[in-house]
Amino acid sequence: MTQVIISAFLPVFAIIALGYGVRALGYIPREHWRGVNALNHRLLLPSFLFSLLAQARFDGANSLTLAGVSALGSVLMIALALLLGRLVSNSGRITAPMIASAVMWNIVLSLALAERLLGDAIASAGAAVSATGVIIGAAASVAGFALTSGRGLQAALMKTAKDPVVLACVFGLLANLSGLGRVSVLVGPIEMIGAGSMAVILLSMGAGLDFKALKGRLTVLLSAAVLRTCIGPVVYLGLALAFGLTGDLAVLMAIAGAAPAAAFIYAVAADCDGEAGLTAGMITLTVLTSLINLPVAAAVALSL
Amino acid sequence: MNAVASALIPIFGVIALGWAMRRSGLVRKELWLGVNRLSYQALLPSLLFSTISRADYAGLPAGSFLIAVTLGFLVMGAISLAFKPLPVPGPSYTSLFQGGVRWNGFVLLALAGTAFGAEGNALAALVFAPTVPLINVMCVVVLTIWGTSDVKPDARRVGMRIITNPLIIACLLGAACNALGLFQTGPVADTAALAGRAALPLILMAIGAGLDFSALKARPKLLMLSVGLKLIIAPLVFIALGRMFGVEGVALAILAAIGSTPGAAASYVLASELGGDARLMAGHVTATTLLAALAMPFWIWTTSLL
Repeated sequence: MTQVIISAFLPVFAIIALGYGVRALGYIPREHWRGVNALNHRLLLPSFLFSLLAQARFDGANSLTLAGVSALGSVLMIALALLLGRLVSNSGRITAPMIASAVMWNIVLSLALAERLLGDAIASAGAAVSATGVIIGAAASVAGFALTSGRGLQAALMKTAKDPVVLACVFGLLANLSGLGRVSVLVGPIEMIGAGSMAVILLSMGAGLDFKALKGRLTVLLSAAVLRTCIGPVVYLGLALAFGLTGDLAVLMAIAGAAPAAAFIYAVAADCDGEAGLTAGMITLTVLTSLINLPVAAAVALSL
Repeated sequence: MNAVASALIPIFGVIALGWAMRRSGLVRKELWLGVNRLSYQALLPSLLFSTISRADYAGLPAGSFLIAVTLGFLVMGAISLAFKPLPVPGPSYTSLFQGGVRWNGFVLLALAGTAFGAEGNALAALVFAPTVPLINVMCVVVLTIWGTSDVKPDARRVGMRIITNPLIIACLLGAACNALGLFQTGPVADTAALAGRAALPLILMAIGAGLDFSALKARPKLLMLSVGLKLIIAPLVFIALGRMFGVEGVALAILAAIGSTPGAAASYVLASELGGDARLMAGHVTATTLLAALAMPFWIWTTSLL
């Protein structure tokens, strides 16, 4: 089993390391990644999610259970982040990245790993988990940052409603339900972009790793990392088992739970004048801890 | 709808999306530099390495195909040189020359796999190794003679630029690994394949983002000539050479596609660096990108009649 997990996970983490390497060595300098990150948040990740959701073959009760468990997991993670956030700091500006890193797991990385470990057939289940996970996660992240930046509730809601990631999920689901998601002329270009986006998102995730951001605020950073990659898998796998999800579906939930925080929350933090440096630190630390916790969580779920 | 048309719709759709992203300001012009760099330095080499190292060339007419391709570019160079007596300034002539010989291999790579399967993919990836140095040397020589830049490239610098070109290195490494049977499976092969999957969507979007419709007004007659060279003469030359060397079927269709691909965005960069007519070059790339949507399926279709 160890061999299977290593051969499935190694290329994905190698791409992340490659992204870090080309940036750290100055081969593609930091300033050039701004465009890649902008493209990621505004087109690549939305295209990936739109294609995933528009073309998923949802199978009634099972998909609903997966979506429900994912939603419940998100709500629990928000509650835990609020609690932990209060314990480590009284500032809302600290709580916002805590919530974002806890609830917004890295979907691209999780689905890449799940597909490599469990095969292409897991994609539709991944879509069901992502649908509620992303909508709640992205909405909570954007709203949290927008609210704590002092822009007010209305501005926060507007920002959330216009977020490309949230919109992609909503339109993807609508395209799936209306049948438009299977009209190849319409979705062909988006599908092509979505298919290629995985590696770019992983590369820019690596390029975005900021070890300098780990200096100072160690309690906050460690709390966020423990919540995301240690408590997360317990919450998601526990909920999956409690709702009767076993086998590959339980493994998928464990991977989602142990995944690092999504890289795009950095863009959201920067966009909302939030604690971008702290958010970068949280992303970096969760990537590092997930290097160990993701394979462990997958192994535990596989052995059940 | 035939396979070529079905494959071209998403390709030109992605190019259009790239243009829309830049035009709408969602990803501003200056930010595309990083996207381009990531594509050329990391993703495209991964794609070429992954495709060539694992391709099955047994039974493919790779030898005659490569001879026809290489000769095709030399013949296009000669035809473009024949237009030198035209009464146009030197820098504009260099852009006409670049328009005649430079091609956008990435549109072909995106098309080949979808429309022609594994055979098409294997042949399309192979083209880069001999043609990238050949075309670069031809263009640099012409720009050195007739361009207006004070900065003249020295042979050593041009040589280094070619030797260290990531696309050439990837092709050669891929061919070596293919011959030696290395990295056919396992983490290296999987990592290259995963990274390579991102190359084409990104580079197609970057092509779209680089389109400049205002440049279509630059020297309209010369622009028409360069477009004619690229989308009418070049496909005829490549198809004729393919037939001469006994290339047929998918390989001949790929030759037609090579001839009718749009102009390469790199020609604009070279024209800016070495004193060519960069605006004419931008117009050429924009016009050929738009018209290639019609020219490519047409010329590929004609090969089915031969």
